[in-house]
Amino acid sequence: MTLNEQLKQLLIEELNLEEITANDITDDMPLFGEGLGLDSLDAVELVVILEKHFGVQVKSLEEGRIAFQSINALTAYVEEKRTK
Amino acid sequence: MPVTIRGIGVVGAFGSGVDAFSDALHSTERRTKNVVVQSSGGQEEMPCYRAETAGLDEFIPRASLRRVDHYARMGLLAASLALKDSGGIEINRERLGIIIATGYGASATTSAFLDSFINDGDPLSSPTHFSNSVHNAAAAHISILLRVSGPCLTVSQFETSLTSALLTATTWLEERRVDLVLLGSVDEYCDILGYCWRRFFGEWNKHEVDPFRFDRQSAVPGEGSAFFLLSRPERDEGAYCRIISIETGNLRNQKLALSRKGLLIIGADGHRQCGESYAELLDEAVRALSFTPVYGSFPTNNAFDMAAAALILKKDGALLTACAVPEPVLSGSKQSFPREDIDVVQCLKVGWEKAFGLITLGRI
Amino acid sequence: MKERSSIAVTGMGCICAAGADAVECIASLFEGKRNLVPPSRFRSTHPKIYPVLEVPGEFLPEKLRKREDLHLTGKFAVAAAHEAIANAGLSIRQLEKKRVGVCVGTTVGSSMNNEDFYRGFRMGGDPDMAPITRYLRSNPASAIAREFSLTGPCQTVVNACSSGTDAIGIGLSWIRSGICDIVVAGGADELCHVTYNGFISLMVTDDGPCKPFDRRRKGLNLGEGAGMLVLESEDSCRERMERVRSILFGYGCSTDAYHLTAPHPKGEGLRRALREVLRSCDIDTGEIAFVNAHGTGTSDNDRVESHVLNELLPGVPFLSTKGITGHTLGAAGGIEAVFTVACLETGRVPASAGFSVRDPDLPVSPVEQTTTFKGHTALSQSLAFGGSNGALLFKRA
Repeated sequence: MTLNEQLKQLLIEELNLEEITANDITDDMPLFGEGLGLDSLDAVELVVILEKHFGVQVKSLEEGRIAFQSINALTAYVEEKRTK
Repeated sequence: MPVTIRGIGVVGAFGSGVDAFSDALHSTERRTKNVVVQSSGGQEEMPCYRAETAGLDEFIPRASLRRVDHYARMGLLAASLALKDSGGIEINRERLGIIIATGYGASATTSAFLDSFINDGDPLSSPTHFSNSVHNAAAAHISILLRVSGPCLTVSQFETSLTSALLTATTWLEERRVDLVLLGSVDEYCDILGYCWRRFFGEWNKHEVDPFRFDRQSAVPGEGSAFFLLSRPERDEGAYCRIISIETGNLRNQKLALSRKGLLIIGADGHRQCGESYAELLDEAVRALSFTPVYGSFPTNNAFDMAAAALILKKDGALLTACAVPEPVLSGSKQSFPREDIDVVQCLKVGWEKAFGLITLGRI
Repeated sequence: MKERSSIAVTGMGCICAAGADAVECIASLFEGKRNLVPPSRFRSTHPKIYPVLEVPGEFLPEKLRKREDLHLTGKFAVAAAHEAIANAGLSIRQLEKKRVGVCVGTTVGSSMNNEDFYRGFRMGGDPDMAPITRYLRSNPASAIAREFSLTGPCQTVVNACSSGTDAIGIGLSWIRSGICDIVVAGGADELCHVTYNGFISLMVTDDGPCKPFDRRRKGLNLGEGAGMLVLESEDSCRERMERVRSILFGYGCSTDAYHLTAPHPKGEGLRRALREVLRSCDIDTGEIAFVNAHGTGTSDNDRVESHVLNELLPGVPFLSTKGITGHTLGAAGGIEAVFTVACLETGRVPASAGFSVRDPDLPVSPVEQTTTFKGHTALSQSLAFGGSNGALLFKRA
């Protein structure tokens, strides 16, 4: 499974995205606000998910705001920062 | 000031909705399920009155429920059912208040939050579980998903939670802070609760709750939610009944006078420590019955007693002709219930430290 | 809403990191004393330490400190209630003759979240049941009612961060409706590992002293304690009028109905709550001397409050006291009511602790130094997780 696909699965399972499949999430669609429609509580939960599964430590919500824009952005961020 | 019950929504082991509830009050079937209870001796299966919330599909899109835990789902379903049950009554959601009574709050999610950092370390604490573990999360979800922007309140007072919450509901209506109140109760079963029961009571009763055997520990844990749409007594057509008075206090330093005229529903649910208090209060002149074998033992189950009282008052006592609860035996004499109309029903709940709540309901 | 009668505040009690009683807490408030420490009652595995405002053990009277039947929140509640009732000049005998209710806000005080017990359970052992028995006996309102043998209505409000404000508002409603003559009302809460981890996980805590409304604000500091008021009907305190410290004139409350943790971006619920309390009291905004804001030091809360205050109460000075007490959760509304009454009595408000750099995104900023005022009326407001907003209006006696 590619990192893109793994991240999509994690979002679906850990954020409990009912009735969404990996196919529904395109790599460049916005994850927050429009697009997938995640919100501020999902953002902080995603911080925990990234640390738990990849050892990535998100230092601030400002850092997260840029890194979480899309699956592509998230993949690049995790690839750069992962320790697991 | 009296208030009027305009709509009722109930969710419990018997199913959901007033019709399912009414059927359950007529029936002898007791719908408990086995739950796995941990103890130092290993694991055991014990009975529990568990509720399901599949009926939410009628009211809320599933995608909107992704963050809503079982505790809040029960409340959301019961609140939605109460609004639906109230029929065509006009509702301004800015003038609608929400008050929730809970004995133990969102204990399952509190446990899940503890698990998140005990298992994986403090930095991996789950913010979603934390947000849902505060007792007012259910009221928050209801206000968001049902778009209710009047005042919201959650009250936690163990066995007197409901009567305490009801008192505030009546003052809000009287002072015209709101025009309607969605007053509800929510309590859930969870692993830690089952474990505490096991430690306090040993293996618990595997049969029916025996409410009038006050000297026995026959409680069986349960969960559920009951909601009422309450209004001032201005437009009563089609409503269930009126709540005439609410008394709260402690039996250690207060005397309680029960009505001899109407019917008394007691929230005795098989806990021996509370049973003593009921035994002292009842005598042959009081016509008492209990429905707790239908929904199980938990701090806010007197909300279901109140629902039963409302049904009795609306259906002219006809419910009693088919009442399946064993007739109480007091001092060797059997009680029989009047077939004439019942005008007043009282609901009494006593807690383990003798705190009590007495709600008097009357026909409109 | 209907025409309202005035309700007197005849007594106050307070315990928090700033002091063991109301006099000490108020003195610390005006001195700007900030007693931040690393949490000492639990061990955290967070890489950073987030300082908290703990109540030192010796602040509790020894007899209360040693009691085994109450958890810490229950002890704080009882301590502040004792002080408030004594301050009101009410003896046990006088209390017995009246219908006295208790309404207390809390968060931790009603949670079955004792960590040691839970760990023991999860490890498959048989942990001591004492924490559970203590939890069952420590419902804060019940603990106060039992302590003083009070027989009026009893209610513990669990409305997250607005619980204390809401509890006082409910006490007001009870007295006006004639259910009781006196209410002991306020809030109590204790620091614990669960809320510490919870707020850190939401990324709304500061690893240094919090800076409410400041451009550099990063989040809140957690605190603990209790604040209680004795509320009385006019009839009840007629023979003790010298005890009246303030008049509680009104309470407004409304819900954002927006999000589980974030406030409505335009502060809709807070606007409605403020409009309601001002309308119900028939008060012009020009009469408000100051606002004791919620002011947690988080980015969202302070932005929303600043915008709403600028719109509804332009030119009215405001402050946050959470730089001195921390965010005491269920206790906040109670402690802040005590501070609001104290400021009305003295005719001055302290500097808003933690604020020094104006945020250009906020239309208004809090007071930067001790400020005297001439007005007689003040507001104390709270915003909660889950979207509840509450506002109390006090008048100088």
